[in-house]
Amino acid sequence: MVGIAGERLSALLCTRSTFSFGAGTATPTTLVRRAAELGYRSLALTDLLNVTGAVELFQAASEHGLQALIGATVPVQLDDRDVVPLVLLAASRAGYATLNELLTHAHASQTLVVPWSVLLAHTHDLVCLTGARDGLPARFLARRRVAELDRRIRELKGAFPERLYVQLFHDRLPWDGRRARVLRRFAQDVGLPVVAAPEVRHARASDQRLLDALTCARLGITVDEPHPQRPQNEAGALPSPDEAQRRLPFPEAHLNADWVAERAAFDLLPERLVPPRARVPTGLSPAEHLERRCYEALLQRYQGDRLAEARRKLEEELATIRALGLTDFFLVAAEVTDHCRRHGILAAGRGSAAASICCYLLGITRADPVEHDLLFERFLHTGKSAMPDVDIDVSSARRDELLAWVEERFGATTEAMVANKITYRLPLAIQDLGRALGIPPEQRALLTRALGRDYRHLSPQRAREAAPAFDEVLGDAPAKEALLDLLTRMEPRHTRHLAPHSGGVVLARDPLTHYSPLQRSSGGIKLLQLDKDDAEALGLIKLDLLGLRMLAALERAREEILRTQGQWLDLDALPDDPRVWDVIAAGATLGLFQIESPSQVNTARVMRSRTLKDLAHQIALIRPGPIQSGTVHPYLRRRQGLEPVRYWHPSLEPILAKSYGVLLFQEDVLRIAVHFAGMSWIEADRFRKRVSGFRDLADIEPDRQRFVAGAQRTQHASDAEANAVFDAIKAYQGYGFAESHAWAFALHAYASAWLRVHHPAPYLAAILTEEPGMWSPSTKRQEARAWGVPFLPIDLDRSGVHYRVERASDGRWAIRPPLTAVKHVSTELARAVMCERLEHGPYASVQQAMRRVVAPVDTWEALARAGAFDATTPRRDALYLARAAAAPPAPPGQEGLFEPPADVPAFAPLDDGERYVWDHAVARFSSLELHALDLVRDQLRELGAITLWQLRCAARKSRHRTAGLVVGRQRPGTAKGFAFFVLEDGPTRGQLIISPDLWEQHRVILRDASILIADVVVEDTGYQLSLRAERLFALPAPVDVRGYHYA
Amino acid sequence: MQPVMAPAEVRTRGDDVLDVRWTGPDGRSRTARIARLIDDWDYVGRWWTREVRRHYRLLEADDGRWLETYREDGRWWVSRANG
Repeated sequence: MVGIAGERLSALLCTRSTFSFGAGTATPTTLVRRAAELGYRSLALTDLLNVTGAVELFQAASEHGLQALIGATVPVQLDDRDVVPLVLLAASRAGYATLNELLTHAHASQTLVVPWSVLLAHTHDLVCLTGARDGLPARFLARRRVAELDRRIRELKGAFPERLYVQLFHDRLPWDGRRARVLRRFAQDVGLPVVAAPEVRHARASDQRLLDALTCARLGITVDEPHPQRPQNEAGALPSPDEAQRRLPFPEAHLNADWVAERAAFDLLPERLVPPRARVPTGLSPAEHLERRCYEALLQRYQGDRLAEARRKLEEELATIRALGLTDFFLVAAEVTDHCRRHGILAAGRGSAAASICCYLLGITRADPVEHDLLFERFLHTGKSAMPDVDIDVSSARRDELLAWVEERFGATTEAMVANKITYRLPLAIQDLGRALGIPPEQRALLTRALGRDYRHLSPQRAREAAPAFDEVLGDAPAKEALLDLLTRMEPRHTRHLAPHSGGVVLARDPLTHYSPLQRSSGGIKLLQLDKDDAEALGLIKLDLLGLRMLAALERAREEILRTQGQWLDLDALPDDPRVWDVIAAGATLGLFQIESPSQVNTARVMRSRTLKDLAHQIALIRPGPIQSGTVHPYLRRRQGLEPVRYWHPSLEPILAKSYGVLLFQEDVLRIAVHFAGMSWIEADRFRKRVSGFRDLADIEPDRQRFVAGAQRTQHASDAEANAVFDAIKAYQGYGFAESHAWAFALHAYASAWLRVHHPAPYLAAILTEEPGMWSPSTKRQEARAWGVPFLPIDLDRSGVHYRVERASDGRWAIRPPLTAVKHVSTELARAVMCERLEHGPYASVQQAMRRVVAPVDTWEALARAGAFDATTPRRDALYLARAAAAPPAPPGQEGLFEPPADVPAFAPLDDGERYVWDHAVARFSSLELHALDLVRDQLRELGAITLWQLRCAARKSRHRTAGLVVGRQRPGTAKGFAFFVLEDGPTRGQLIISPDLWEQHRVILRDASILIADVVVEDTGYQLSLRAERLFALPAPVDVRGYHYA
Repeated sequence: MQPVMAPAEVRTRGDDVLDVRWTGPDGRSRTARIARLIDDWDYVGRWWTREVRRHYRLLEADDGRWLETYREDGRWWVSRANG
């Protein structure tokens, strides 16, 4: 209960946060903290058209002892000309649902408004404030539309009986004092109470300029342009109660604010979501159906001793699922994967769900949890407070199709995706605020580029750390300091907008508006206004349908093999093949799932994986968690027998024996917490989350004490032993894999390697089309040379929409690149070219093609440059003809637009170097067996640079000068300032290690150079060619090549 | 009210303005004894170049004239006046 505090305002009823997207600068947490500091008792969050900040608000309010109220500012359409904002506060959970329905209505309209009639029909348990400056009374009184105002107010009174208040405000603008008095008198005249509700837009006065700049960015204007929505002063700051009293000296308005806060107070507690009803055969209950399916599959998949173990595990799981009321949820997840199987969509469960035998038997996951001893409790246990997620990887090419089916199957109001809160990083903040400050687009683009991988991941608040980039581009321009000042004022978690989550779908039996409004993303995807953490806090269960490009590639490769070789592969039953393991162990893994990065290539040679278990471990090793906790090297040395396997305590051997005594998986942390430190599964789950998410060492010291005491009690561990284990867990803080997840990924990785070995051309065509992984088409094209797969040219008469496999003239399977690989050529245009070809035969000439298919001239030019007409017309001639067609029509009686020009000048044919450059200019790769370095080879020889290929066989620790095209740049946060570049020369690649000193010395070269010449020391040879840079130069590249660039 | 934009000398007691003296466009000195404060407001702007921070007062003189004054960086100005 909120007590009546007297004349001082103790409740803020109209507050906007960053979730008003450009109309507020503070997060809900900051607003709550500031309100608590100033002595308020309640705070209502009333963001514009959304309740995205609701969960954060309630959590922060609980922490700071404040009463949270949730509402929203809702624009209401009165008629053709008038839209007025109303402030609606939920007075109960039912009122919250009503508000969500209204917001859903607003988001369904193009103009983001609620019609007046809809508002009047949705008022249950809502408190209505009439709005501030643009509100109904203030605006209509100013325009002397009194009769209309009276009518509207009467209707509102009827719709919100005893729940309608005239909102008083004062923004320290001209006549605001008089305006407040007039509104008060109006309220008396119509018999309504007044309420003091200053509009709060920022936490502190000094943030007005940030609000102003964000407002300009939202309105698409610069700061030099006036606009009524721009703040004129600092009155949008959260006022002290004394200041609020000075501005609005009406005691009853303050008392009413307290009264509203009291009646609108409720807790947004988590509720158990009821999953949608599963489809079950007539006469069976969902529980019976689940059991029947699981037991039938159990008998098919297990025999002998394993059957007994599997049966025990299944019985335990089914009991847990029944106890948590999740039977329908499991069946629904199975319905989704059943649908995928029936429709040929590759799909596989991953994550912690892969530890569930129930998921395995239902066909949701593919890794056998009994065989691999996976830990079900990581996924689900009866004490688990958060609901489980089931993550299902789906072929990215068909995910939209699957989502459409999910919506059709489960209903429009009971299915939606969770949102991602897209928070500002420096590049985005520079774009928005720089535009508001009038910084030209070219300069903003330069600045974004100058941030490079050193700074672009920073939150805006840390902008001054990127001062060198700002100095480089903006010099002494006055806008520089203004921009830096604004950026540093932004909160680290300032959300810019909502976007769809990569796959999280919430399914419920009842309308989801009970939890959140629904809106559509710009791409048309239906979203909740909750992110995954909010959803978890509210007790929602989500099914993650994640588009995985590698599954799309596997699917495409399988189809291509069927098309060309007539063989349909069962990707779930690929044979174990030593040749596949040889490729993986050699590190020849470019293009393979999860094991293609330079770090994985380096690990591969030491690991020499020969089993799926090895592969799961290899995938899990190169993650921030194991890297930061120093797991990688001990694991590899112990695996090779170079050092003995040691355990911090003998009791850990059963848990850590499989990983040679080190922490590798999330499950290891859980098992240690339970079996070593004596925690329950609930405690262990919470412990794992706390330890993996801590920011300040002091935050987890209580955990250390409990952990050490538990280990001493449970396993009689010494103080030193228990602390050593805790320290290892603490160091594992960063992201690590669940073992079940690693197994699921290992299966995909093996499938990709199997296809690469047995069907290299179809697999290459598939990964070029679907683009999984990190490497550019150009690098994959170079890799094709190593795989012995030739490339055919782009051809208007043969190329289509995707990379395809064709027999080359020498009988080998070759890759035919698609028309869509050419700049400007859309899928639709490529289809039009194909359809016309199918209907009327091959294209005889450039002119004929241009006559038969309608496309812009620059598209024809690009096709000509890419050699699409090579079969009929030399490239320069084709380009000339394409351009000639763009010339103005000839006068009547002369040649028509598409007639061949009388004379095509005699052009010299392109040499190979020119063809290579032209190819790259429009297609990012060339079918020629050349590399960019071949074009400057002579120059490199003069400089004394030897090739990467030669270095593969050089002696370790020998010094050389070499060169390479930069195709990968990485400077991971875990590498203590070291950067790792990948240099490429033909199909040979090498890793270049750059020290922090060298990085600082050559920051700009390293950011901009395409070809690097480097004096190096050879650290490793072969596929794992690794070079330590000692000196660097840049050489201009003849082509623009984009590789991967990670921070 | 007519635009004036002239520096002013102001005598105050606490927050209350007692009288205002300024030079009109005709070069003649003018004085107003203030009877009451009609309204006041704040303006904060142009922060992206040199911040402007003004507190405006709309005043009524004892002879019935209205004056709009503001204070910026410790200095007083008459921005508009009638009569």
